[in-house]
Amino acid sequence: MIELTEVSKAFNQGQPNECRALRHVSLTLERGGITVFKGPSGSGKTTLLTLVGCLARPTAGRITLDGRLLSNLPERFLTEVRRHTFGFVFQQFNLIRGLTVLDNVMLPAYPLGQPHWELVNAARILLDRFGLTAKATSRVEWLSGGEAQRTALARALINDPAVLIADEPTANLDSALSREVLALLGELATQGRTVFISSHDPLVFEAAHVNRIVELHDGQIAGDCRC
Amino acid sequence: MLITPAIVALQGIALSVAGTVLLASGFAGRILRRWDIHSGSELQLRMERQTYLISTLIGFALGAELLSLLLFVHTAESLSSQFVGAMCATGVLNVNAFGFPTLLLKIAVFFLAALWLLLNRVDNRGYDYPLVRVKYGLLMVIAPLAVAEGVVQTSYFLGLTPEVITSCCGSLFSSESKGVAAELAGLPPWPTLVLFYAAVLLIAAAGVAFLRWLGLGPLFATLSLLGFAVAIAAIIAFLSLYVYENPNHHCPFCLLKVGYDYVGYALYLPLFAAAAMGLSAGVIAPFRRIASLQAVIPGEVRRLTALALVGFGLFYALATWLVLRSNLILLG
Repeated sequence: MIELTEVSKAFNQGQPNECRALRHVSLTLERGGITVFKGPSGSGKTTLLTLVGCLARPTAGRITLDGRLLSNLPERFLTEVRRHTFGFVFQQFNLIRGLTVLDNVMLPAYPLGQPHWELVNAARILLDRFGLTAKATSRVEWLSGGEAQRTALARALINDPAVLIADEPTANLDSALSREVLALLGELATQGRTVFISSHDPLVFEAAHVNRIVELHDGQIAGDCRC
Repeated sequence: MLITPAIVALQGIALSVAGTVLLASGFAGRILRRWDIHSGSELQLRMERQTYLISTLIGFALGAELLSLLLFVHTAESLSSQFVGAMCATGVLNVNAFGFPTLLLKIAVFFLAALWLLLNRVDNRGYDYPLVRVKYGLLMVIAPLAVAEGVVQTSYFLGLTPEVITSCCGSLFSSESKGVAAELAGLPPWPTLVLFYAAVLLIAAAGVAFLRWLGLGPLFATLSLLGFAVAIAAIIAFLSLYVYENPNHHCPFCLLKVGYDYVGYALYLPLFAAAAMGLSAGVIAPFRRIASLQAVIPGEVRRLTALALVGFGLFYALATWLVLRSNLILLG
C-alpha cells in the first residue's frame, strides 16, 4: 500500500517562475488493480506518479510504501526500492536509440548483476509474451509506435516489479494500438500487479480493467471514483 | 614570512577547512534545533537534501585536514636548514610562539576529523539519517578548533622570519629544561618501558574483548587515546635514545630525518591511524542499537578495531625492533 500525506511539489522553488505542481495531496493507493490519474495538462498527474515511483522527492509531505517511509530515504536506498518495486513506461517511451530491442529490455536489470544468460532468457520470455521475438535484434528506431510501446512495457517488467507506472501510455498511439496496450496492462493487473496510469485519454479511463479513477486539477485531488 | 609551495598548500587547506566548517556550522545549528525525521515539512525535506551536499563538502575538507598534519610536520622538518639554531622541526616550531600550538591544534583536529569521517560513513549507511545529530554536533566542536588552527597557523607562518635565531631540540627535550617536553624527556626509562609494554597488553586485551563484546566501546576508545599518549611519551623518554644511540637526545622530530631513514614516519603513521580508529570504533559502537544501524555497526566496529590493533601492533613491532637493533645500552 502506498500512502501520500500532505504531499506538495514545487519546481523552481523561491524563483519568480516557481510552479506548484502538487498541493497538499493526501491519498491511499491499495495494491492490485489499475488506478488511473486523469486530469488536464498541468494538473500534476505526471508529477504525482514520479513522486510515487521515487523518481523525484516531494517538497513537503511524506510518502510511505507498506508503512516504510520512502520520501526521506537517502538516494542509495531509494534506488534499491525503485529498482525492485517500480517499473516505468514513459510517454515518449525513452528507448535508447542505437541499441537493439533485446538490449533495451535488459538494460534496467544490468545493475542487479544477475548472470547474463539468465537476463537474456528473462528478456526473451518478455519479448515472446509481447509478440516481439522477431524484433529482438532490431534497433529500436526501426520500430513502429505500437512495437516501441510494447518494448517499453517489456523493459518495465524486466525486474519483475510489483507496481507498473505508465505515464500517458496511449498518447502516441492510435485507437487500435491504444486498446492493445490497455489490454496488456489489464492482463498484468489481473496477474496481481498494481498498475498506475496517468492519462487524459477517455479510452483509458473508460477501459474495462480500470478499478479506480483519481481526478487531479491544479495540483489537487478533484475527484476519486472507484469503478 | 617564508613562502614555499608546502606553506601555500597548508594555508590553503587550513583556510578552506576553517571556512567550510564555519559555514557548515550554521547548517549544523539548524539540524540540531529543527531536525525531525517524522516531519514532512518543507524545512525538514530541504535539510535532508542539503545534508548530502554539506556532508560531502565537509568530508573532503576534513580528509584534507588529515593529510595536512603530515604535511605540516614534514614542512617544519624540511625548513630546519633555513633557521639559525634549528636542527630539526623542533627548532622551526620554536621560531615563534605559534609553532607548537599549531601542531597541538592540528593533532586535536586530526582525531576529531577522523572520528567525524567515520561517523559520517556509518550514518550514510543507515536509511533514516541515524547519526545526523551526532555528527553535526561533533562538527560544532570541530568548527572552533579548525578556525583557531587556521588563525594560529597563519600567525605562525607570518612570523617565520629567517633572521630569528631559534633553539634546537637539545634544549627543549632535555631533562634540565622546564615544561612538558622536558618532563617527558626526564621520565625514568625503566618505568616508562614497563608502562609502554603494559599499555599495549591492555590495548590488545581490550581490543580482543571488544571484538567479542561491543559494549566495551568506551573502554577501548579511552585505552586507544591513553596508548597514544604513552607511546608519544615513550618515544621521547627512551625510544628516541635507542634510535639516535645517544643517551641525551630525546627529540621526537629528528626521527623524521633522512639520517635516521625517516623511521619517524614509519612509527607515527600507524600510531596515529591506530589511535584514530580505536577512538572511532569505541565511540561508534554504542550506536549499534539504532534499528537502521544494527546490521551495519558490528561489522564496521570490528573492522576498525582490527585495523587499530594492527596499527598498534606495527608501531610496537617497529619500536621493539629499533630497541633491539640499537648499540645503545640504556637499561643494564
